[in-house]
Amino acid sequence: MVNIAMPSQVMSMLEPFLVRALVGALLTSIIAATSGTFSVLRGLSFLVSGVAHAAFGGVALGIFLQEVIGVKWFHPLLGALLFAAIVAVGAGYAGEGGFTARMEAAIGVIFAFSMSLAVLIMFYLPAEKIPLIWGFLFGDILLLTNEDLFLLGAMTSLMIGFTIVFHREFTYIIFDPETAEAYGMRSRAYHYLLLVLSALAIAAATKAVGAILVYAVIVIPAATSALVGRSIPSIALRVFLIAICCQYLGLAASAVFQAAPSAVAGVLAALIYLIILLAKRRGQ
Amino acid sequence: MSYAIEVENLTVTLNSTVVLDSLSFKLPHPSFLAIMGPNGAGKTTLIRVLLGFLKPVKGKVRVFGIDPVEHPSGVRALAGYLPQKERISFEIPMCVKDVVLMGKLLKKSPPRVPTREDIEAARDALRAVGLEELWNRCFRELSGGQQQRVLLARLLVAEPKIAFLDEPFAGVDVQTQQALTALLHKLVRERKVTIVLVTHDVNPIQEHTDYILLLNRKAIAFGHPTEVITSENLSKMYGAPIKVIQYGQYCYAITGDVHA
Repeated sequence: MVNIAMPSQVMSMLEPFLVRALVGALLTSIIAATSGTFSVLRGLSFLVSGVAHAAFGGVALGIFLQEVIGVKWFHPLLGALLFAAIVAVGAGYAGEGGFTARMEAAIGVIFAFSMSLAVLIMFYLPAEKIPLIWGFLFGDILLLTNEDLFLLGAMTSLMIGFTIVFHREFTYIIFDPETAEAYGMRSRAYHYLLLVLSALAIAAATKAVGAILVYAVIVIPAATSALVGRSIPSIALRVFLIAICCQYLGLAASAVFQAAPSAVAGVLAALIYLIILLAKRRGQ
Repeated sequence: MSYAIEVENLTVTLNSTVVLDSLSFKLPHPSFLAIMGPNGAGKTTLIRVLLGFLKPVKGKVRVFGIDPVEHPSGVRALAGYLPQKERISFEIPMCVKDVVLMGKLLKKSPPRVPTREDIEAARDALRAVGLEELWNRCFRELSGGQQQRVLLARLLVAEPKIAFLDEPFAGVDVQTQQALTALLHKLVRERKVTIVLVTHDVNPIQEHTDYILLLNRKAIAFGHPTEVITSENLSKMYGAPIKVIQYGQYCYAITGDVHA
């Protein structure tokens, strides 16, 4: 049986943790509109999942270095960002010249390596630290800390800033990298820049919503919008709207029905994808 | 005489396989060159070397006197390019105007904001290929022929001194092919642009070309179409007997598009 919260209870929930969740959802939606849109259009939706799971390995390494080796300055989040960057550079290297399939394979390799590393490391960690690692996979937007929000805000700002300045370059390397290079643009540099930025932003979002649901919140809205969009800006706007509506509805559901907000957001996003896909297939 | 391209004894290998072997030719500027050859003949490789994408193992290459290996940016500042269809992600949703403007904006530095003049030039280029009414349309929703014409407009707006077109007629109907060829011919004559066009089938365009390079790793023949398109040369290039028929001063391969 579900607990229906009274309006007064809902009002009392407007506490710092809820404000952090609302801001976190907003920032994650912006990351979805930028990193998610570019990744899906590039045929690289696996990047999102790959980065999220590689970041999990990075967190494990960070905790291991802090707790077992004694490298106190190596924050687990630094490990997450480092591993995210490794996925991006590895995928970028494999895919130079526009080979998306090779990029997906490279992401798969680093994904498997990071997860294996995490499992190996867990064996050497004190038992009370293990939930910290799993927490990264099953992050909860209601448990965001100010530190998480700061990281998410920083990565979102980076992504917005670079996208505003280089949105044409990012579009050109997805659409026709060879011509861009032939006309004098440094396609290779933008290829890596987009991958690394996207990966860092996705790693920060993973900390907010968890590795599994980051896929739902970032990839599903982008995949849905790509079905119907007629230009990249219109796709990005739709991605943002779908991601934020799903997440806010998820938060509302969590307040009223005590359901996990990211899970509700994921189910809603998947339903929207299904409806749009069916509508499009019928229209063809 | 000024040369757009000078190639001397060029040898290129890819994955330890020789794809171009001791190739030499000089192309005067402005002129219309068609490069013809079977699959794997090194046609695209030659363009990639001329644009500085690939390093030769031996030989000398110059584009307007510039070495593309040492100074790729020097060559690319003068170049226009239309790659093979397979190299473009046609499913990416882009407006036709943004595709055409790409030709102008890529020659600028970031943030590559289009000026009123750029937009006007892009509209003119789209008008030149006869598709001005598609300015606001989504590129991926156009027909194959229309897409090729939009890509040609992108090339025009870049105002190149030398334009490389890799199989621009693949999957394009005869009417569009003729319109595009006439436009390219006009570019050479009126705007003094050198055109380098890779094709499998030289029949429909040879009357518009100044030079033809028959290529199969080595140069089989290089010269005016009337000298180059002979049964002997084509048979040598494809390694199979090819018959030609003469119509006016030109010879036409009766096998058409031959894949070795």
